[in-house]
Order: sequence, then C-alpha cells, then structure tokens
Amino acid sequence: MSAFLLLAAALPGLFVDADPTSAFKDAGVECAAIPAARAEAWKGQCATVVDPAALTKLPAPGVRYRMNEARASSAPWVDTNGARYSRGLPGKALITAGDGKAALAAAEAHAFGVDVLIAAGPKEWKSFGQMNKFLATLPGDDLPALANIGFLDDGSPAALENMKLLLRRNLLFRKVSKPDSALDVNVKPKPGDPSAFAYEVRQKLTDPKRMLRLYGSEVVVARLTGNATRRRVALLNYSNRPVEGVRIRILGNWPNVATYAFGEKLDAADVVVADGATEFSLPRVPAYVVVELAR
Amino acid sequence: MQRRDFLTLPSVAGVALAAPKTEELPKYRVQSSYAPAKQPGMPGPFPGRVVNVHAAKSIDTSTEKVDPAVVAEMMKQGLLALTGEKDYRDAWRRFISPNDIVGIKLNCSGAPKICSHPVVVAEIAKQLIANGVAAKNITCYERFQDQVVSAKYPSYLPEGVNVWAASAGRDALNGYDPRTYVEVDFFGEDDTRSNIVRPISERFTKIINVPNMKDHGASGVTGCLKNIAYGSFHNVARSHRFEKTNTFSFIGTLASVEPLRSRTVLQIMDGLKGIWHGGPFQHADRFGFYPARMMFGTDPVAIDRLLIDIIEEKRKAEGAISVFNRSMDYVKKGDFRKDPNTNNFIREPGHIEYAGGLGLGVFDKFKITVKEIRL
Repeated sequence: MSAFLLLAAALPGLFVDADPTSAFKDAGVECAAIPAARAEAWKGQCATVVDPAALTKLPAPGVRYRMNEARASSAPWVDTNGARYSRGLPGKALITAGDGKAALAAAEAHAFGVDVLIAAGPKEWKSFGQMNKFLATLPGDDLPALANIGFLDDGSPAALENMKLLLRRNLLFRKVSKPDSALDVNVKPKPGDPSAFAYEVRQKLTDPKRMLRLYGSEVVVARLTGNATRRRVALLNYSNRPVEGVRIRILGNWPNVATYAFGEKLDAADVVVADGATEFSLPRVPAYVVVELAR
Repeated sequence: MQRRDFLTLPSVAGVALAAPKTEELPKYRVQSSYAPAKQPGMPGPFPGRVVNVHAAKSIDTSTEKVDPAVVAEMMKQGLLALTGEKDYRDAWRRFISPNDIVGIKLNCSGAPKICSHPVVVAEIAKQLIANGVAAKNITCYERFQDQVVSAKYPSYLPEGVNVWAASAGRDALNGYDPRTYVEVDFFGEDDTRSNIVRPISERFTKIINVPNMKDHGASGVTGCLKNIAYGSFHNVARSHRFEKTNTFSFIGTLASVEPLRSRTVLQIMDGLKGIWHGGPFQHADRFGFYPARMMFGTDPVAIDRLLIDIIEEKRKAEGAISVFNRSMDYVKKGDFRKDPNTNNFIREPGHIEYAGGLGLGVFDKFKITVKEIRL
C-alpha cells in the first residue's frame, strides 16, 4: 500500500459566459468566473476574469448506456475525468457540463482534489450551488489518496484508456515514473482492450488484496483516502438517478462509520468488521457520498 | 377421478446431457452462517416422489381463465397423495405449522403472460390461513417489482397477505442480505457476489416454491430449481451473458445455500399453462401450451426431471430442436423470439442432474416414483 498527498483544492467554481441575473444569486452561488468580454456587465459583482483558452478543456462526466451498440459487455459506459485528474493537469480545468451534470462534475473534482471551473447554463446553477454548499460542509480532506497498484504512465492515449478502466473497476492505482516496491503491483500501459487490461491487473493483484471493493452497481466509482487512524471513501454516482443499494468492502478494521450524502441523510447499515476488512451497506447512493471511517 | 399408483419410471434412452466436466466448473465460495436443518426442505421427506395431477377443466384454453374450484381440488388431491394423509389439514401440517412465517416463491419472470397463476397462489395462501398461519405472516415474493405488479396478485389474495419484491429497480441491492451470498467470477465481472433475498434468511421460516412449466433458453428448462435459485438471489443474469453459460452449476449451487435449502419445504409446480420455447418469456402466442396439470413434491430435482420430458415432448411435437441440442448451428442464427430452431445460448438441462449430485433430489428416473391423478 502506498499513499500520496493530493493538494487540497478549492471548491469548484462556476464559469458563466452571460450577463449577471438574479437567478445566479438565487442559486446560492456567490461568485463567478467570467470571460473578459463580460467584465463590464459584472462590474460590482463577485466575479473573476479568466481566459478560457488557458484552461484544460474536459467533458462532462456521466453514463452512456449504449443499448443499441454491439459490444462485449452490457455494462454501462462511464465517462469519468478521473483518469485525467490522476495523470495530472497542467493547470485549472474547464468542464462543460450541461444536461444536469454540473453537480456531478463539481463532486468529481472534489473527490479527486483538483481545481476546476464548470461552465454551465442557468438550468444548472441551482444544483451546482447545492453541491458546492454540500462540499463546504464536509470534514476537511487532508488525507492522502491510497493505492496499491503502480501505473507507469507513458502519457499515451492507450495509457489514459487503461487508467480509465482501472478507475472504472475501482482498482486503486497511482501514477509512478518507475516501479515502486512499496506497491503490491506495478504495471505498464497496454494497448488494446482496456477492459481486458483492467482484468489482467486485477488478477495480478488478486481480489483479497483489493483495498476497496464495491458491490451492487456498475455506475459508482470510489476513491479512497486515509491515514493510520482514518479512512475516507468518496463515492461518485455517474448515472442520473440514485443507486438503490451498494455494499462496500475496504481492507482494515474501521468500525466507526459516518456518512455524508448529497441532498439527503443517509446512514451506513450492516457494518461488519471481520477477516481483516470492513464492510458496510448504503441504502442509496445519490450523486456524491462521502463515508468517514475510523478505528 | 382416476388415480394410478406410484409408478417407477424408466430412464429415457438417448438422453446425453453432455455436461461440462467438473474441472471446467467455476469456483464458488458460499458465505452463509446458517446451519442446515436436521432434514433440509430439499429434497425433504419425499425424495424421488412426485404427484402429477391433471385436470383438463382447470384452464379454459381459449380464454386462459382458470377455475379456482378445480385448482383447489387439484391441490387437495395432490397433497393428500404426496403425504399419504387422509385429512387435508394433516397434509398441510406435514410442512407448515401455525407459527410459521411463510414465503411463497412466485415465478413472475414472464409475467403477465406466464407466471405462477394468481388463482394457484391464492389457493395456497387460503390453505395456509385455514391451517392457522396468520395472513400477515404470509408473503408472496419475487425479485422484480414491475413483474410482480403486472401479475395483479393482490386482487386474488386473502386480505392481509403480503406481496413483496426485492428490487424496486432491476438490480437494486437493498432487498438482499449482505451477509449471505455466493461469490464467483464467471467472466471477469467486477461484482462477483450474488446475495440472497433478505427475508429468506432473516424472516421466513418456511418457503413454498411455485414455478411454472417452461423452456429456458439458457438452462434448458426452468422449473423448481431455477425458480428457487435465480429467483432468490441478486446478480444472477451474469451467468448467461455469453452463448456458453454457467447455468449448469450455478442453479444447483444457489439452491443449496442455507437457509434456502432447509426452509424450502414444498414444491407446487403450476403447469396449467406452459412455455415450450423462448422461456422464461412468452415471445409469441404459439409458444404457449396448456398441460393443465400441477405437480407436487418436496424434491425439486425429481419434478424438474419430469419437466424435461414434458418440454422435450412438446418441442418434438412442434418440430423444434431438442433442449439437449448443443450444436452452435442453432445459436444466434436467427431470431429466437420467432424461430424455435434458434437460440441465444447452448441450453443446459444438465443443471438438474448436477443439482441432484449436490443432494437436492433424485435425478435417476428409475428411482423416481410418480403418482398420476386425473380429475
């Protein structure tokens, strides 16, 4: 197992390429990032001018079910920016998030500890504001990300696809420049079927050594952070509706479980600490849930 | 009423199961803290014994209307013959006591066209109540809510009897026991667990299984074993994702998990209507047929062994390929929903013999006794 620190990121910001309206404040968003062309209109408001051209553009996260497309698996296609975040961004990212995805994009950035702006229209402002309020209430996240797979990222597109599928399968990895003997497994990128690659890595690691496992959903991706006395599991639901029930297993004995869920009160249930692992169930997983575990 | 004594059936010549070799089987890990009962419900007190009650008037084949009075008589005769009791109440009390909390395992995978008929289920509930079980302690259960709702059970059931589905959404995990499951990796899927329906482990003291008589594209036929197994666990469709499925060993493995095996005390196969192709669904009207019978027993393997013959005979009469045909010439070569000589999978009727090998019942037809009753 190995840990590396993520820089604590500021809350995601909202990029608005429009003149100010009351809907902005009504949504509970205090400040906006705006293009220079809007500076005059936003005079007297809390706004920061940014140059979109200087930002790394990323797509909105989400799920595509692709029911009418022939493919090897019927599993839904999860569009996550997590692999890009894991690889590292040169600076701030700009995510274009329509179709109800602004809140998820904000949660995803929070889970991965990255600094992002989210470009979204007025329909998205309310849910974005609600998510940012929720993120602000979470206990401080100064915990390092945990992983036991080293991924020798060569910067190639194939490597990015490999990392996407490792993330998708909740195989906890970190980017390394050379094999790290502190990790259980070190792997190189492999072109071809990234799903087959992820399975190969899983077999190398073996399931009993997986630091985190998730049962009951194909659309929830988990991040694990922690130190000697705490664990934090961040759960991102990439679909557009709550998942009705998941079971989480993490290595180690962590009997005290506290849950923070976006938009609702949730309690973990059926906590079992046995055989060197802790398991608990969540009856629902909305867009974002953070679970704090302690000894 | 015509009645024949229990007959020992000969083995069917030419039935080559071509079962997968043991070394090819997936590695299963069963997680359960429940000990088996002294006498597990499957195969129960009557291994190898089946009562087959036929009543032509049980179902109107033009309207599919079921006659409740005929069904009630079929059930009475079936249980008396199975148990050898003279008094109908005594027959029920061989399986159920008034303080039991009873689950009735429905089969709704093909509902509303084909399912455990509400008249049959209602008659079972009535008999349970007549034998002292409180209506509130009877729950008709299935996995998926939309299927259960489509069958409209509440309008047939005695007041107070519950109807419950494990999942409001198709794969929701909430209705399942997180501590009791079978773990297996079939093809690299990430979710390797199949958890048991929660009331089976935490609430029910007895279970009555009410399957239909159906062909099944993956398992060959779907009767007692598949209904109690795949209908009582989460995340089971993964066993038949590809042409070569794992239904052969998964069905029996699931049915053997405690406490499901011990608590499933009675099998009542509703064969008023059946499906001879495309099961578990009825894709076309012509694939439905009317055996107009019900089979009773405690041994799911023995009943399902007879079911193979019923489906096989009907398919033969319709000019369809055998359920034992393993040739890839017929797999995904057309639309199985229309053509009975094509399929999406290689059928695995050998799952029944495999389950017999796990101790769930008697597969050898020389050792199965059948009491035929005609009303």
